[in-house]
Amino acid sequence: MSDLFPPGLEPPSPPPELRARVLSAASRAFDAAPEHDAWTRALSSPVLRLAWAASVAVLGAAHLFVSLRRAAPPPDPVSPEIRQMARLPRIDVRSLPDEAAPTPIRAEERS
Amino acid sequence: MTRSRALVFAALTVVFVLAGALAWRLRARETDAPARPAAALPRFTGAVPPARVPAPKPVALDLLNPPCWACPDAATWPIRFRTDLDLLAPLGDGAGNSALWLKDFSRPAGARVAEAEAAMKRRVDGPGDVGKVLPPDDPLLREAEPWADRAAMRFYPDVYGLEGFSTPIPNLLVALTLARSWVGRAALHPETSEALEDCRRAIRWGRLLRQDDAVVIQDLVGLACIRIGAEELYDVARRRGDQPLMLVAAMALGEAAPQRLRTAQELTRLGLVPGDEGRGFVEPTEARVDDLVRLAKSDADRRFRLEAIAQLAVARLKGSHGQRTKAEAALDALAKSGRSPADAAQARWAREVAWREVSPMMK
Repeated sequence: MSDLFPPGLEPPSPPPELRARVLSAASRAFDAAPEHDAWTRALSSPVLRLAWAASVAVLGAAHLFVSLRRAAPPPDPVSPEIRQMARLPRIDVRSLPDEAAPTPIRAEERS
Repeated sequence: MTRSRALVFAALTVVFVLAGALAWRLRARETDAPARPAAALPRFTGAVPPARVPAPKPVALDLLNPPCWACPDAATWPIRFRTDLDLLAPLGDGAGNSALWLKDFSRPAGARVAEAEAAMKRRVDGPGDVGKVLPPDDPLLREAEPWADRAAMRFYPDVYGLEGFSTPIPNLLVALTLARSWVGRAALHPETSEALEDCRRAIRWGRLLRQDDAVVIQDLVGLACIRIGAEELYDVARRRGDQPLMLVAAMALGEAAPQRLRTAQELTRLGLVPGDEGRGFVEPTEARVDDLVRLAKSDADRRFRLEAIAQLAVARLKGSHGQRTKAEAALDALAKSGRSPADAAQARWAREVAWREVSPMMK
């Protein structure tokens, strides 16, 4: 390079500590770069993010569906007209022979 | 790295919690269902086999013996007609099972349930107090006539299984409407021979409905069919001046009310409340469990044995330790007994049923 310039006009030499400073800065920058491990890659993957959001949406919708659509009671196979026809007179259980009168279960106990 | 891992775990936790909760809710929903949906049975498509209905037996007045349902001996009688109904309306000899046809109209899953609903909308007020009837020439009425000429109507086990409180039953409104309609048609033209045949057909239909002797309400509907048929038959016989037939019809009529009362008595004894809509239950006690065991093993009528066995399921599930042991022993014995396959099937149901399947019936 000294051949390019006339004597006495050469540019000044770089500072002698410049090489060390540059290498040191590069090393620090390399150390500071983020690591791309499996967790990070998974977290930043657009495909996995989309899959997670879709699964949460589907599961949430299923919960909503289950809440809204409660199990309907089974239809009564006996029509009210037949129930009326088959209605029998009450018989006083205390008048039945040879046994103690049974005690009807109270509504609050039917659980 | 730690933060990324925590976020991934949190995201996965959300998914697993939602999925687990959904699975639990679906399972709870399935097990809480009070009854399994009725399976749709295939529609009967065969032809009706030919049948012959014999003439009624001649009435031997000196042999008639009107039963005394109010006498002490009656307490041991099975709840069936003591009068020989062959004097009024003997069953036909047609092969085939009428239940295979009638089951198609069963609610809610019968193959022809929509036709049954449509037919019920076609009903009109019948003559007298017979109630709602189909028009005399209704196609369903005509279609049903040969099925009343069969020798048998067996729902259990040919069509349905015995499942305790969830035992399926046929469409009794259709069955009763058919009998009412035949009786109503007879009442429109009581002087004709067709009127006599219509009354007898209604009685035969009731006899067929009572053959199963498995479900109390079906038996009561059968009894009602016989009663209304006998009532109109009495009137037809009166117009004809047929006094022996009038006498037998009156005897049969006189047996209908005692049978209903005895049925009410048996239901009360079983702990069912006969006047209530649906079923009533009573708290198991030592004496009651003993009584249920006795009824389940020895009642003369199968329908009451089956009800007693079903009640033993409640004793097994809700009784004290002693009552449970007693109920389980009786059910085991009945399940292994070769005396009656129907009793054994009901006992197996009562031995295995869970409370969640029984409790909806107590509402």
